[in-house]
Amino acid sequence: MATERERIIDFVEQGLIAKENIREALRITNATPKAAAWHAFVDRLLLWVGSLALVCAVVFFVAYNWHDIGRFTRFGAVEALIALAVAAYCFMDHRRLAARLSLLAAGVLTGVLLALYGQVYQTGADTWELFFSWALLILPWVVISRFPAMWILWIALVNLSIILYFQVFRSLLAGVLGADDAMLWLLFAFNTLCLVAWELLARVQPWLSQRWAARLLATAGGVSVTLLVLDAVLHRTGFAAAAAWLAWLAVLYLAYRRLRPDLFMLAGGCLTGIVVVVTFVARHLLGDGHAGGFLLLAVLVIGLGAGAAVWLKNVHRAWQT
Amino acid sequence: MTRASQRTWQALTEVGLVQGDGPALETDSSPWYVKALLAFSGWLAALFLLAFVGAGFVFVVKSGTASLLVGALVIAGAYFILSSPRNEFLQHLGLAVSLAGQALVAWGIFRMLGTGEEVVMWLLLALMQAALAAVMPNFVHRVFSTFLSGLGLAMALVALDVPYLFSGLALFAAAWAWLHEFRYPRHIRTIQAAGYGLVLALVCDKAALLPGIGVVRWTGVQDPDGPWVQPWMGEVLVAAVLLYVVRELFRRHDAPPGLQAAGLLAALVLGGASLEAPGVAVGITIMLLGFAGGNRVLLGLGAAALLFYVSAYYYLLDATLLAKAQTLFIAGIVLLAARWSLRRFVARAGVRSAG
Repeated sequence: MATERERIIDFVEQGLIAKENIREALRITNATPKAAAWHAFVDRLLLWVGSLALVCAVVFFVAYNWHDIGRFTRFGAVEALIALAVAAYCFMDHRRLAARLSLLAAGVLTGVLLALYGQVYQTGADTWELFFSWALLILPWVVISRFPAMWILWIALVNLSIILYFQVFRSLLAGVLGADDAMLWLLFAFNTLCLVAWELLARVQPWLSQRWAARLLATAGGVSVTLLVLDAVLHRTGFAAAAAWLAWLAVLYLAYRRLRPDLFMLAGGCLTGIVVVVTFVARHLLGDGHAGGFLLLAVLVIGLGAGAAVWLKNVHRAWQT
Repeated sequence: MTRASQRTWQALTEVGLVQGDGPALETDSSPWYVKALLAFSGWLAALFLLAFVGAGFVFVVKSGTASLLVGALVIAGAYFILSSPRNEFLQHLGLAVSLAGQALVAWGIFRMLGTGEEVVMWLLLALMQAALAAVMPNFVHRVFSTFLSGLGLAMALVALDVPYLFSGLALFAAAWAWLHEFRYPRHIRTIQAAGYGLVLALVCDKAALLPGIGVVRWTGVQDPDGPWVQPWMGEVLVAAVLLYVVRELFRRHDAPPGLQAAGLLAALVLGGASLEAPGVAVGITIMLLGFAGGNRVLLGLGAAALLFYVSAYYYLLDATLLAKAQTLFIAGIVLLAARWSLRRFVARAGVRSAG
């Protein structure tokens, strides 16, 4: 949706606001921040960047693997910090950003503790086990946090576990499913499931209504299914991938054109559509190496891009009016 | 006029800032991701056009002069396509044709000058892109050209063995553009395109110059003693721009002197932290510019850049992880203490104004 800022720019471009009135127009419509908004922004910025710096300091310190400090001191330090972060969450109003960031810090530090365990005892465990255990251990905190950033951390950990798992077991599964395909199917299924759950729960839980998180999940699922269908197009295998991709596109259209208007999602659908169609045509057109094939593809890309842009702009305009 | 536009127009009319019935038409203000889609399809189509020229007109690619001439003609053609009445297909076509033409011109310059004239080559490319950014009547094209012009200048500075000057120069230009985007109302979109292009070039250049990523190495810094402009000098320039931005923002909001001094001190501390962890001040400055202008895209770009630079700090080879942990710990404590002080200051000011 267009912001107040963009609307003012529209007016300025058409010469409807005198130059000396532009700053006042921006101020009155809250297109630019007033003192209170600045205070809230700087407050959040300091809190986020300060917390990030402290958590990174612990990560870097543990990664340094300082042998002058005994293993129990190191374990003690990380565990004490986790306890401190959880205590801070317990004593603060849970709705405050500082409380949620404390719990997020505790979640990240749990991973540091697991890494320290692996570093000290050389357990020989696979990397995917570290991330999967990390995700499992922090799940209760994630559930009570009611904090989108923490859920995204958890989902990212599961994604990472899946990718690392298939790096280890590639040879075992390659003969059965095709390891890359199996991984992409799993990533697609997991991220799409998370997206559906997110959108459904956002109707009853206002804290889930932040669009960036849903868009990130849709991007993760969309990239996976697009890679699957590209693989199917290039190797002429797997109708299942093409069917899943088409079904995903249809649901995406219905959901974000009709039920929960979101132009970003529709633009993502157009992008994957262009990539897949162009790959399909290129696969059949460029086989004989004629220069004309490239020209046709260029025209096709321009046509598809222009069509997508016109449609998206029309949808955008329709929603605004 | 949309309902939201009507509301905004009404609010402005009530305070007497505008008069009349409002705009007769809506200008083209599609969101950033629609513009990104346009840029992607233009780039992809340009690649196919280049492949078409490469496969069908081999003599053009083999001769530097022919590449240069054909490229220039193609760009001129793109200008006329983009100048035609607004039509989405023609806009896409113009962008793709222009990008293909630019690649041919760049190839021609490279063929004619050879590998010994890197500085001249990059400066020529930067100048060409700057001219296109000024002339081409298309927003996405202008962003793209400013971005490439910035990268061209950055590469010229690398070839001159002074790579770290670019971030300060580009940040200053971007800061000026974003702080004065409404100064020339008729050129507002051009200034914004330049602002986005410069920020994108700056973020990429900063990432490429970070130790461990090492673009500088393959671009050929030949001096065995290393460049005379060291990384910290570039960060000092960036810190100076951060101070300029903070001062300008305080001036606009008529902030009390005490708050101004505290803010400038905080900016100085952040600039100092950036000497240790390169890029932090760049990320923060972009975020400040984004928030000041109510520009969420710029704010997001700054936040993403900041996160990237902090992650890249892990791989910086100049300091041990222990030293980095100490720096981060001190920075974290200082920032959280600053937040605590700010809250107390605002609470006291609130009590005073209520009294």
